[in-house]
Amino acid sequence: MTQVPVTVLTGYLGAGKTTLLNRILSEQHGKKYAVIVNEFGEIGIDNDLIVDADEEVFEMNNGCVCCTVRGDLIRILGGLMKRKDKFDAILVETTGLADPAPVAQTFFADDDVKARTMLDSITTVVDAKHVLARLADSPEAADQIAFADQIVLNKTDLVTADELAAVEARIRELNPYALIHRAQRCDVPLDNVLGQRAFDLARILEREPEFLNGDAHEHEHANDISSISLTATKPLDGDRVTTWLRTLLAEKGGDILRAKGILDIKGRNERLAFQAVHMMMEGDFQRAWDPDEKRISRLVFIGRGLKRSELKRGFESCIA
Amino acid sequence: MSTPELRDGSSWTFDAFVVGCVFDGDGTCAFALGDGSLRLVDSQGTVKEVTPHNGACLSLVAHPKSGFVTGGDDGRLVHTSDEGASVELAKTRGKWIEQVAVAPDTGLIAYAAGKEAVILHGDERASFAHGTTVAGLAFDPKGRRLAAAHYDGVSLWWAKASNQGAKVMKWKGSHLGVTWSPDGRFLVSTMQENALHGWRMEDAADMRMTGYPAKVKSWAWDRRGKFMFTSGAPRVIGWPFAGRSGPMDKEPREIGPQRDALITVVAASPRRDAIAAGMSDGTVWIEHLDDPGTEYVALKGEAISALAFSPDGKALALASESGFAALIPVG
Repeated sequence: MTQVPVTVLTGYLGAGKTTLLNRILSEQHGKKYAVIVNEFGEIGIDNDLIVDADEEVFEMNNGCVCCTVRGDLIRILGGLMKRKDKFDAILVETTGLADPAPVAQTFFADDDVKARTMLDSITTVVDAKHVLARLADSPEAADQIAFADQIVLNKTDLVTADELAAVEARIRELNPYALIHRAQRCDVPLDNVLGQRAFDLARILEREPEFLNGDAHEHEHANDISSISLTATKPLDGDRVTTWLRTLLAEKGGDILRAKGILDIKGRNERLAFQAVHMMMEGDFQRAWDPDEKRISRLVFIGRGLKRSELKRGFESCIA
Repeated sequence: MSTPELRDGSSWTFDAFVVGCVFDGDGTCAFALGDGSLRLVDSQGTVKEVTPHNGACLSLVAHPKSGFVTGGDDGRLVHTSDEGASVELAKTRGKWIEQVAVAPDTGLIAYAAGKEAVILHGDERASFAHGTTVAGLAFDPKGRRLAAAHYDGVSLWWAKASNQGAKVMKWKGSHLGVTWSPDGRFLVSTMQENALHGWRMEDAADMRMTGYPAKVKSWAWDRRGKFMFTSGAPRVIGWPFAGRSGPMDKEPREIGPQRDALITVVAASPRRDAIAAGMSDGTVWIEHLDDPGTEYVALKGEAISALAFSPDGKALALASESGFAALIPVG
């Protein structure tokens, strides 16, 4: 069964999400997109492929309080799959104040959603002019950047080169691996945003491994979002690393927003790729390591109040 | 796509996801499709195509008198006669109509649009608001009370009373479907988790029915009302509802062959103690409860998405996600 790619579009009010959606709906690109929006009226285009959603966040009954999903999204995606006209992609817009976690977790938690769709990327539209002020006054703005696989850095024409550099540096502090597309009036080529398989961490880590080389500094404030990357050059013990990650996410998953990694497991010729959103994790052996490829295990955590020394100790205890 | 092998009967390829199938009281069978069309098959096997919806049909039930009622992602609720004439019963803006229920005894029709449940009785219309989206609807066996499944429980509304508050049967989590036992003593919901939840109406005692490997999306009560049969596992799971306590502290009965696929839809014969099941690998089988031995009706193909017995129990309609549909005579 082919899985339809889904792009989740987040961003603070006024960042330019609606501009981007209007472009996707009105441009001649020869593709068929279904768009799930939360405010029907905002999109000024009449199109039967625009679906009104209610952003209903439901807790799952599995004893995990941060395990929330979007109930409306499960229903809507199920309904769209019954239509005769198949879609090249589906876009989900979230409200400006939305926490991206429930929508991302929906793609881990619901079997039907998992079988028929795949999360292509979480794309966050950021307003270059106002983002620093938003980051100062609203925690959702930081969450949306921290969660992103890619960022459309919009309204770059309204800031100076120095201001832009400062904004990008601040974004990198929150999220070192997201791709940044600079844009004015969201004029980023759609092909660069959609169908990127950006949620597929293997590609991201492969494309820009230098993100993982810089040693992100540990933040002083417990509530600050930071990222921590870890590497190991010796193979890891498969059972130990799985147990460590499971325990870590069960205990600290509330603070860990995203985690991604590619691991070299002793006795296996394939790379183990894994990713997590809060407490939900999935991992799979993917392609084999290339003969001339350096077998390095790489891991990134993005979250609140992460302790580098603790994570490093845990990770190193998994070396076989 | 592999071609399904049929034991007997007539088959068609409709080229769209079959959302549901059902017979009305006159014996006409309707298949509702993801292209917005209905395919009506009369007792002579003649197929008539009508298109009540601009988009996809999302729900299908037999009209309390004759013909069919469908809801669609165009926000419309439509009555289509056996002859294929369509009349719009309701229209909503920007909402899908995924849930429709009928009460044959009182002639009531209910549908859900977003957080609202609406009961239609002739030209009268009563609407009932909920805190979250209504994901399932069912009238009680007498057709006087409507159950609406939503997040954290099921709300019960009297169809004919004005100025009432809902009686809410509470249970944490997202309830996606709801059904009453044929004697009205039990209410059962299907949940986002792979489980059912039940309530005994006399004292609102909770019943948990768990252990499924997949979400339960289809259920059927046997003709005596003693068992509720469900999808969501490799074999049909039947919960006993005969005694005062229903399935409380009882093991469910597992019916049918053990196969490497999941049951997707179930239907119970109105004529015999028999259950039919459609599977994710395209298999359809019938098993008689008092006479073990599986009768295979269809083999191979796409996941079965619709299954229904005719009112006389002598025909079985089945259809798949890819648009394969068939009518099969059954003994």
